[in-house]
Parts: sequence; C-alpha cells; structure tokens
Amino acid sequence: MIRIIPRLDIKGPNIIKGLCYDGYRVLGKPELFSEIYYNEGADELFFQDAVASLYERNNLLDIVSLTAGKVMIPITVCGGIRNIEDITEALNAGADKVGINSAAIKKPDFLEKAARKFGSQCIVLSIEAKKIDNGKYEVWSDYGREPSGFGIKKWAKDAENFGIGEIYLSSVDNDGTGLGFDIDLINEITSYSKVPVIASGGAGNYDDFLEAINKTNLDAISAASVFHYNYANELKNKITNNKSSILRMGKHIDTGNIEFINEGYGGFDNIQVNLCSIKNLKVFLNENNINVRI
Amino acid sequence: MTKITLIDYEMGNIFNVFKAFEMLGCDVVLTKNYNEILNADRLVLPGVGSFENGMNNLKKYHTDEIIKEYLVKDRPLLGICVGMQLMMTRSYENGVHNGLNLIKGDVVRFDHSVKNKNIKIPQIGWNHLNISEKHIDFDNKENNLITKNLKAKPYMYFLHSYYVKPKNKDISIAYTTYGKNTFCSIFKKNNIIGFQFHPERSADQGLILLKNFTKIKL
Repeated sequence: MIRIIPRLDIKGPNIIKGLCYDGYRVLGKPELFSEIYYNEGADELFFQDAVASLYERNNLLDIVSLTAGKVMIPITVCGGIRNIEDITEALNAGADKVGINSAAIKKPDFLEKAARKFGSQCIVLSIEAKKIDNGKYEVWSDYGREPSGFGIKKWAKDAENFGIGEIYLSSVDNDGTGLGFDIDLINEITSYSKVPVIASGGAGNYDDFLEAINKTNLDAISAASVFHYNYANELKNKITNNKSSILRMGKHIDTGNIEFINEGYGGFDNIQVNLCSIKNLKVFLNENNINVRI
Repeated sequence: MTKITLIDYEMGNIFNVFKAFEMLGCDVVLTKNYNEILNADRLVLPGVGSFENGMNNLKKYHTDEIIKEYLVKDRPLLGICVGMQLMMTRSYENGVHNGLNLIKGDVVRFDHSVKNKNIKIPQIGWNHLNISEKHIDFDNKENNLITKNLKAKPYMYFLHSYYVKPKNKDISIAYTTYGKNTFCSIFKKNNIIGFQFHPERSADQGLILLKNFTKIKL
C-alpha cells in the first residue's frame, strides 16, 4: 500500500513553492488546497513551515487547527519543532505526527526523548539531503540552508535507534525542478530502513511516481508542484501561464520572491512539470499494479 | 443532542477526535472530572503515546477506577488506538505493564522475525478491515451494530507498533492483516468497543464508525 502525500510549504498565511529550497512563488491558501486534496483522495498531508527554523517562530499551528477540523486524514507538521512543548502544541492543534530536522541535528537525543514521550509512531525524522561533490549525500538543515556534515545513511540509522517511527526524505537538489525523483538517494535509505520512508522532491509527471515506486522500497511518496499547479488552476489562482507543459513563461502575475522564475536559477530557466491530479495519479498507479487506496 | 464525553488524561491528539464528534453534531465534553465521567452517556478513551504513560496518567487522576464505576450500568465505552490497548489485561510495550483488564488478553508487538522481515514497524498507513461475517449487517436493520453502513473491506488509517490479542476470539469483530500478522482491529464486548486504527483520521469510512457509536441505544 503506497500512500500519496501532498506537501504544503507554508510561509505566513500562504502556500509557497520554490526551487531547490530557494526562492518562492505564492500559490494560495493552504486550507483551501488541503480540502481539495482531502476530497481528491490524498492519504495524508505534510505541512512544512518554510520559515520556522530561521526566525524561531511557528505560525503554522493556526492553519493546522483550521485544516485538521475539516480534513479527516493525518497531518504531519514539520518545521520549528525544537522541544517537547513544541510537539505537545502541534498535537493539540490537530497534528498527528511531527517532523523533526534541525533540532535533532543540534541535539540528537531530542529524538529519543520525543519518541519515548509520544511514541515512535508520532515522530518523523525529516532529512533534507543534498548531493555533495563526491557523489555522496549530506544532511542539510534549516530549510535547505545549513550543511550538517552528517552523511544521510548513518544519520538515518542513528535516528532509527533513537526510536523515530518514520523518515521523510527530501532531495534539496531535485526540489521543484520536475526532473523526477532521485532514485539513488531513495535507495540509499530504503535499502535497509526498518521504518516507513516517505520520498519527496522532483516529481514532474505521473511516470516519475511509478518509477520511484518500482525502483525503490519506499512506503509513501510526496510531491508539491505537480499537485499545487494543477489545483491552483482549478481554484483560478492565475499563477501559471500554462501552455504546453512548461510552467514559467512570459509575463506572469506571481507574487513572492520569484527572481528564480524570472532570471533562472542554477541553470533552470523553466520548470518541466505536468499538472497531475491526485485522483488520476491513483488510477494510473492502480492500472500499473501499484496498491493504492482508491 | 447526543452527548460524548472524552476522557482527558493528557495523552495528546484529542483535538481530532473532538472535532470528528462535533462534525457529527454531538455535544462533546473533554474532562477528567469524576462526576462528569461517571454521569456520561457515551465515554471515549482516546490516546496517542506509550501504554505505560497512558496507564500512569489514568491512575494519577483515579480515572481507571471511575471508568469501572461508569461501566457498571453497561453504557458505551470506546477506546481508540492506545485507548483500546489500555482496556486489555497487560501490555508488553517497554517491559510488562498491567492495563484496565476490561478485556482479557495481552498487547504485543508486531513480529519482526525472519518470516516477517519485510514489514516496516510501526505500521503507518491505510489498511483493510475484514469484518467477521456474523457482524456484517446485510439488511442494514440492526441499529446496534458498530460496523453498519461501511463499505466492504473499508480502509482505515493505522499508526501503531503493538496490537491486542483478546483471549475470547468471539469479541473480535474485525481483523486486519499486516505482513504475516493478522490481528484484531475492532473488538466489542457488550458496550465496550475498541478500534486499533484512528477513525477520526480515516476519512468518510472512519466517520461512519464514529456515527454508529453515537447511535448505540442507551
């Protein structure tokens, strides 16, 4: 059973989407997207606070409460979870699980304390993985800004020993690019992991999902752009001038820090993303003999 | 208005259970007060966290004794996830701990031995309920049936490493299979009901179960 989990990066009151954890365009209200995703058959939601670690604040919880009361699927809250009180607050606001990254890198025993108090099933290790020069992957923190010096494999193993119940693995390099999932990265974790792994970063079309599911031992798959841009169109948020399958073109009416769209970013000057509906994705996967909840 | 009393024993994540019953139009009270629990019409023991913490917290407020007093009149009690597990005789989570002993049997961990090495623990995600034939209400006539109006083999959301093994197999009205483990995912003994999954996170099918709970005749 493979779970499909839309990822909502949230800054202030809005969903945003960047490229390689940099820049962002504003897409709309998370509570509206959440309800659509729920009705379309999403299995869970993953909320990532895009600023919490940087500015030491967490404005996500009001949005979580607003959403959790209407959306009857699990919500994981990630970003700005620094101590036991933060977890308690997130759960009281309606989160079912919390994702921990930066705080665990600073104090790995935080994971152990959290798992003992709330149970393993509640504690998700969030790994922001970045490929480094020797082809290996390094753990980054603070929303893809700070290198930790940790290799991902050892870090994931240590965290499992501390009692985490799940791993949310995202590729900083593929984030927002639509180039497909980083299969090597996912395999590096799923080849030995004893806890469920959610893979994220790079989905650009239906086939990318199928490839990642078939070539790795992942348990759940997460994506943002392919879903957000699809439903943003439905919501008539005119954020894309969407002709053919290329998202960025000509004049746009975007808001956000969108220089990456206007001027290109790290060699990207357009983003190849086919718009995907969650319903159709599940039908497609089902036709390809993947067990999903329909 | 149907009254639902949620037991507050500081075990996290009450919010979503609360909201789900509100969505069903119930008057929901969250309390650890002796009289409020004792005089409840329908009592719910939710729970996220470890068995040991849960039991310690129940004892701290003497809620374990109040629950037993409440049950003397055979009123409905629903345990969800750890709440279900706490109803059992004992649990093997982090040592051996005694539970409420409302249902005879143990709480044990998923088997991670060689024959089952491919399963991930915890089980996180959606899985089927296989409802025992005698508990499927083909005519939708029996109002007291907790599984009324569900789809065949409905999906529910599970989030757990341990499961219950009731001694009396007749009370298990639904089973779920994970890896090579087939375990009891719903039990019902008189008006004592347990769900191993989270109905409040299991979309429309989970809501149906909660609604059925609110319809049990008093």
